[in-house]
Amino acid sequence: MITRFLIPLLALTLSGSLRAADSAPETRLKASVNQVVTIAKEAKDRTALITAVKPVLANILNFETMTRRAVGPGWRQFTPDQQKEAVHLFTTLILRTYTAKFTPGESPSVEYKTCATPSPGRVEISTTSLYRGNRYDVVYRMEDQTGNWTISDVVIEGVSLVANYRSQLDETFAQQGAAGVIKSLQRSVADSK
Amino acid sequence: MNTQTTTGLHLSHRLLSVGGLAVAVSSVALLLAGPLEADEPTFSVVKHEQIIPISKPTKKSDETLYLSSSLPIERAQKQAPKKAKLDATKVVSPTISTAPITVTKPAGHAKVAKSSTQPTAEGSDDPWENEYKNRARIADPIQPVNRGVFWFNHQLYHYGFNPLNKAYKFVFPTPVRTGIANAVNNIEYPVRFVNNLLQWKPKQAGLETEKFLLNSTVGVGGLIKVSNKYPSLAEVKSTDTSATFAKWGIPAGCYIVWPVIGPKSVRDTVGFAGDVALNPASWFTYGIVGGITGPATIALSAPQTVGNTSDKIDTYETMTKTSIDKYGAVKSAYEQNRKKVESQ
Repeated sequence: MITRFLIPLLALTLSGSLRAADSAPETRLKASVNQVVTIAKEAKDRTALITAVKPVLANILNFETMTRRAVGPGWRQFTPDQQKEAVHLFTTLILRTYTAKFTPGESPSVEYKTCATPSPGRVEISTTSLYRGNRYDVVYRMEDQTGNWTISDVVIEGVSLVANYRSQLDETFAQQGAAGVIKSLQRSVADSK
Repeated sequence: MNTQTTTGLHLSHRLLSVGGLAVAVSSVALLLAGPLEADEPTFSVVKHEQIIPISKPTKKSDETLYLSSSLPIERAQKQAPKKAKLDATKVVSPTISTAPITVTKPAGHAKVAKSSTQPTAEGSDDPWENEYKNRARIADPIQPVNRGVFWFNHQLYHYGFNPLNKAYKFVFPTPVRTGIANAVNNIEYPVRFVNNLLQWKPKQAGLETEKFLLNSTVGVGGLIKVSNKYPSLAEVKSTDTSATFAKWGIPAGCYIVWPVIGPKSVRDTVGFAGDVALNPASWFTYGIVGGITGPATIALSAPQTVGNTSDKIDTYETMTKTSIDKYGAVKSAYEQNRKKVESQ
């Protein structure tokens, strides 16, 4: 008799906790996006904007995952030091790419649409950003890194940030290996100052 | 400040930006059937909606056999037999592996599994380490020529268009620029309307018309995008002639970087001609800037799939500035963006 009541109750509790787990990345993303939008809106100039926004991005973007996927399976041929160096350089590039998209005093309005779970430990949150009268589809790919949901890729109007870099690094790695990749990243970081 | 020229120059960046790059008209000939570049073949089976890499192209009765290139090259070479003796599974010759090839269709199994969402790597603690390898890659047989033209375009964009864009932004405040971009987008309505019909999307065509009428009247000639306040209208996806050709199954052909107007596939080049013909802005442009010939005139009337040109120039600048290989970055962005536009 007790079991008859307990089972549905347990199921209800479980389903409730599952829903909560599903919404965790969304909650985290929304909090970060709100922070960035507020910073962009209130920033007096570009330098202030970049300084303020960097810690927020560093907290939500998973630079190591992004770097290793931008390199692909060749990542395993990097020495630990090379990996560390590559992540450091790639982080600089990503932050420069991302912060350049903001203009002090202006901010997009973000509309959250769907949150798909293509496989366990990964969600794809689709949003639309309204910026200067135009609507841009932006998908945030997030992954659960031991209980902490972080962004592993950002897809703007169909263009994946990581895939874009992978397409550039493939040939370099094939021809020059890990050292060549590091050299290319160093050159890009120096050129993009 | 010649606003019109500036706007036109911006338009020529379509293909080079995240929004969708430049444009052109052209010789029809070349390589309409240019193949996608093939990756090294490997095999996997789909069992209970899971992709399982296998070392031999055999399968059990409840599995679907796929060609897969999402495994590491070194492993792929090891795994793929040079001359696979196939049993009833009949694995197709591993030449093009951009799409899974179904051998059988067991009931209740997913036919196509998204490679981007399926862990595939072995010997790695990151199951998705190779997920970005197999993005469709447009054939680029004339890359040396394309790179030369790309270099020329980059100088033009960076030292010509970019300063003009900065001047344009300096002279006109954001609301004015937004209004101009809205009006230009509104004028391009026939491109979207006709192509929705050609893609047999009457509902979308109707919504486009509704949007056009609303923005043209309440939105003061399209300067204000009133339609953004209505979700059903705001969500209408833009389209163009190239997308129509893609829906019709016309192959993309090879990748071409055109002077001034930038990257395009052969199909999109021809599609662009259709867009120009359907765009009322181009009808006036020819009269107003008759002195400007060829690509520049065409660029002035290039319809935009998404975003305004000024923002696209900014995006182009950022993308190339933080890239490792400018040419590769722009090509990849073009391909990925077109894939999205064609799928919506």
